[in-house]
Amino acid sequence: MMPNDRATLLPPAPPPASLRHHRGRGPHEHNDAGFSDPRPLPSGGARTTSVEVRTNLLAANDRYAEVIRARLREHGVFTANLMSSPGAGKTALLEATLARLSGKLRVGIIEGDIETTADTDRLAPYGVPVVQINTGPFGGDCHLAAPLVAGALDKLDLGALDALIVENVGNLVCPAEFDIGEDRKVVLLSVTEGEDKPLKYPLMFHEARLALVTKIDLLPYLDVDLDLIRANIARINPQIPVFPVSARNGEGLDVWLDWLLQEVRTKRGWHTDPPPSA
Amino acid sequence: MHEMSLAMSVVDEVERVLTGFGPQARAVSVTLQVGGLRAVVPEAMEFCFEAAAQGTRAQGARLDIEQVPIVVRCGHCGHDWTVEVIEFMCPACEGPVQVLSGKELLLRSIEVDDGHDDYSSRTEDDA
Repeated sequence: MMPNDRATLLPPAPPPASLRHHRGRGPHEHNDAGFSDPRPLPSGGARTTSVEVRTNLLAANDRYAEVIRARLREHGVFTANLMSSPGAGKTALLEATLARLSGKLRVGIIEGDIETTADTDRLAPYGVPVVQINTGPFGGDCHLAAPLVAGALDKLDLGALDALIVENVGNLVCPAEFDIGEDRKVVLLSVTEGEDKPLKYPLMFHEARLALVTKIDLLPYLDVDLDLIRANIARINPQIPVFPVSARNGEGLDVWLDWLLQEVRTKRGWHTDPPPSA
Repeated sequence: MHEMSLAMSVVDEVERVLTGFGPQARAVSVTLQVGGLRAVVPEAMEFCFEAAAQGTRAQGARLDIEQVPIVVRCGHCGHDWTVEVIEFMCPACEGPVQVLSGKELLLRSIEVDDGHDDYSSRTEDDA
């Protein structure tokens, strides 16, 4: 499904939501028997047929995601999909990351937000290609879907990139559903959000292949238990690494950057260290 | 609110399937299969479906949602169990688990009214 279909499907004011077992009437009036009987009915009854479909509702999105994945593979661009709740520090992590990778790695960024170019503006000083996606014109989607990301890829010179980092729309639920052709899903959880979030938003932590616990410079001021955050992530996904980081004071960033460099090396088939200069 | 994106996919698929049923055909009901990991809120899904279906052949159709339990298997000891409180660590050996079911997000079936409310005229069409 293309997000811009929405404008034609949504009426200006949605109908009331009191519809759990609402049964619609078509252009004709039927008796109830007419709905469930698949055989031809006597005169006056309509015929209904049950059709087995078994279509994956994400199939349209997934087809776009595979096209994206093929394009990124062709150019050997490692792609990370950064996801978190709003305000967990995705953009701050990108700022700290770009500052440290300058001259070492050619990074492109796709910024996803419902509205504003605020994040793109923040990243402008780092001199890397940044493409902003705003989902507002497409109905204000709370996640990036693959068709939008495919459009953003057209604005990037993939041949000039080693890595692409996609900052998804801030949301711990929906972005986890939508494959955007990335190599790795990375979830950020800030220490101010509380230890219980992995248990409350399990799909996100289940789908992620790396978890970053952000804003650890705030730990001295909070009653939050970092070990409990780790334990709760492990209850949902025992295999993923968990890196505590602070974009503000730089603590833990080397571990994250090493992980990123290693993923890029693997994707590009580099066997030397350091990688070719940007 | 991923329900709106999903509802639009449902309506697109209903329209696609109904093209094989002639111009008068309408969807009477639509059945989805949704795994417990998908965080789909049935009330939100119904509301979004109702809105997305306006002006389409799914307008007014009933939405039935079948919930699929989360069933997992331990990668170490092979133990299978149904997850009630979401947790993906084997209670027997703390091994990592593989999800056997619970990620479903399917349009399972559509009940189609072919729109021929007069039996004799329908049999003529069929002939």
